[in-house]
Amino acid sequence: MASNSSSAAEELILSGKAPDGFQVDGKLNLAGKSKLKKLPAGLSCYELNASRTSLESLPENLSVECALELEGCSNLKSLPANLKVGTLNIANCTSITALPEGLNVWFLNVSGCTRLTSFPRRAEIARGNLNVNGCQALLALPDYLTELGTLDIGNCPQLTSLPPRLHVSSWIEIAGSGLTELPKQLQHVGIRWRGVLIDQITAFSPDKLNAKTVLAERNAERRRVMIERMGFERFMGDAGARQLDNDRDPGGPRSLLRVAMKGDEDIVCLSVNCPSTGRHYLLRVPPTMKTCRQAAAWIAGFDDEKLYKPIKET
Amino acid sequence: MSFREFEYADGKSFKFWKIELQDCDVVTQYGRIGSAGQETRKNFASPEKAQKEYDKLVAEKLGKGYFEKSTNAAPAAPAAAPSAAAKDAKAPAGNAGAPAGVREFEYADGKSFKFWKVELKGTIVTTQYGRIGSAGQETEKDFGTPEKAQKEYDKLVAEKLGKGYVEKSAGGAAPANSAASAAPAKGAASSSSGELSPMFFSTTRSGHFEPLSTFIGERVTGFRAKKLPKGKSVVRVRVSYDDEYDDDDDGDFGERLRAFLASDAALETRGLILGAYDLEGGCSGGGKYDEIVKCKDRLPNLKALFLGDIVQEECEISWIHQSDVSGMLQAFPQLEMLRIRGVDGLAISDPQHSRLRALAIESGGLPVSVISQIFRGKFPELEYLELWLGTPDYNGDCRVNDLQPLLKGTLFPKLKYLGLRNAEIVDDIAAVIVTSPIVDQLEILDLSLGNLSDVGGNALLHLESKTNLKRLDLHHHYITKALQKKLKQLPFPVDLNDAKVVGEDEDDEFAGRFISVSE
Repeated sequence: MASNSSSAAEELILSGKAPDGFQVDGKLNLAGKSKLKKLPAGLSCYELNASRTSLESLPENLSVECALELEGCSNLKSLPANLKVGTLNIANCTSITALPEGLNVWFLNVSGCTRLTSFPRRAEIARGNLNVNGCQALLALPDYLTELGTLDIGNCPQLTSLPPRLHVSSWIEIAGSGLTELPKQLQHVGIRWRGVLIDQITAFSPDKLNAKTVLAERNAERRRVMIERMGFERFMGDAGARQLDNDRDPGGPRSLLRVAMKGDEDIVCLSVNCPSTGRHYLLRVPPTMKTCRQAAAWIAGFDDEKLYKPIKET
Repeated sequence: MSFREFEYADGKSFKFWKIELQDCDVVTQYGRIGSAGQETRKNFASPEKAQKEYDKLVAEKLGKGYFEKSTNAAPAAPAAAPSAAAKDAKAPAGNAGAPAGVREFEYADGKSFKFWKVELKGTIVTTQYGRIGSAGQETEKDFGTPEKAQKEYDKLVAEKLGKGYVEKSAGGAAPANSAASAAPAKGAASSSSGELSPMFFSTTRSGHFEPLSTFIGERVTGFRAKKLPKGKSVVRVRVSYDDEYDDDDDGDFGERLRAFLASDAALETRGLILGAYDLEGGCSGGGKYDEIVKCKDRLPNLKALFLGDIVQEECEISWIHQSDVSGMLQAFPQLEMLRIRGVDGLAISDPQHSRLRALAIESGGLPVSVISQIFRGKFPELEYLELWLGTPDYNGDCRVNDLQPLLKGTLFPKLKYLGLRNAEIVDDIAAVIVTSPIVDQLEILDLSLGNLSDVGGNALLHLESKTNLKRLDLHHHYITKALQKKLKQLPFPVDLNDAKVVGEDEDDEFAGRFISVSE
């Protein structure tokens, strides 16, 4: 059968005139075509992107070699049985309640599929990355998961355990999941908390954290997560911090805090919220700082606070 | 009395250098080939000191890529033994015939083409090294005890393996009996029959480009219309900044390329390097290389082609314009190696070739459209695939799942080397590649020049069971010392050279980790 060039093929499919068994040599990009409700039966291509379309289902004998992107197809209710493709992305397909039996993929993104409750009884999901972030109704991951590159189970509060034979080569994202510990075979896996690599104590035993450990952490993102896990109030109390100054900036209230250290210079930190993300940070400044303004100027690289006149802080 | 004569040629230079030892005097003579040149004479306090200086200067020239002109002339006394050894290298591969404790290695990239040999005899470790085909240098060190000598021996071998040297007798990826590797430099043309050695596929180790001085194991000869290269089989055509200092102006790139194609030199050419073609307007105006397709009959022996041997001073890699190379693939069915630098405008609309063994694309950002063209293509003989994925900032929009068709391991059944280099997504690749079937068929996995961190480094520890691997190249990385130590325990050599550290002031772990080449 003759192969069709991509742009002409896209036109044909959108017009509804593409024949059954339509073959496209390459990538089909139909993303954002909100009127698209149906694909021709037996469609075959290398890559298909039909994200944010009105598709409700896919033809039974659809054949996509590399990647099938269906992100944000909120009407999509089901996928064909025995679907085999390298990458399947159905992120934010909020009508999906189940995945097809016999699914065979390396990379699977079902993040934000809030109505998805379970995985198929029989499927092969292996070697690549699995992202189930925000699948709030998902109760468990299937036992046939054995080998993954990365796993994101963030914001899956009902997921409290991992499959017994699962190995993950790189990292597991766990923020907002129900996971309380790692199984034995995953002791060396990287743990992520909203993208930040953290250790097992911070992840699973934040009650064991103390201010000293937190302040010894050099990475500001990790320090932020540690304080979040510990609780800001407990951290401040534990650290015996004294407030030197406070005022407001575009991120909200900010304060300059001092923690006395035995046998070392005081730790002085500016407590601020990022105006863009709302995240709370403690940023270490020299112990000679007396005011929030002075500390903020120093962070921006000004020794003389009078010279620090930001036009806009983001 | 010792006398040796050397020559050096690339697109910029064409010169000779002679050295003579006369008792306490070292006499050197140098200049452009064909000219009388200049002579210098230096007197030393003793014949020993003069000999030392003589050896030092010769080593220096060899290190710079000079080729010894007359291999018949007796080499200087200290080098006599290695000379014989270099010829012995032609002996059948395999450890059986070699004396215990002797191992021989070779290394080739765009800049180097060298051997290294080490021998352990009691308490003495002897090493020989130099340009392949030359006699090389010898050093000898006595360690007092056999144990200490053994330790040094092991250390040196590990070091060389880590740097990418290939053991000659090891077979596999090593070009055990490559004609070119054992032939004297002058007779390099004698290797004009037979397949290219896989050792020559890799040409670009570092992201700091320099014009190639060797290619497929032979020195590169710059094409000059008024001085036609004779008996040379690796030729480069380009314009360069040095041209304005030359008396004989060969015209613009198109004129040079046409002159080359019309010359007899083209008929002999096995390796063709096309460099910068317009230094005025950046390197814009693609299709300048397509002339060779029209004149394909003038290049009946072409085996290796490098499109865009262009360095940063000439043109940023992101400005190097290429075009659809399908025509070239079709025009040269005997081609074994294609290397391309720069991807602006690059396409492979008809991706197939029944003989191609090596494909390399260097870029600061390789569009996924080009990658999927390769993956959908038919390259049944491909042994070597090197892709510089780059950064999204320069159109390197490939994500790890776009590589899945390759990672499955069914696309290129003969693949032995896979390079996913200069990649900003190298941590993501590491996570997935360790369990991918493709690793089981590889001898060399190259993830160098990227911004690999401990995240990816940790995942790579899972390669422990992959005993088929002969080498893992991670040079130019951001892995911490503690993890480097663990990676060195893997059952194959791991190149961890060029370790980078995120700037001291950078607290964000994702800030400040850069790939080697972007713009």
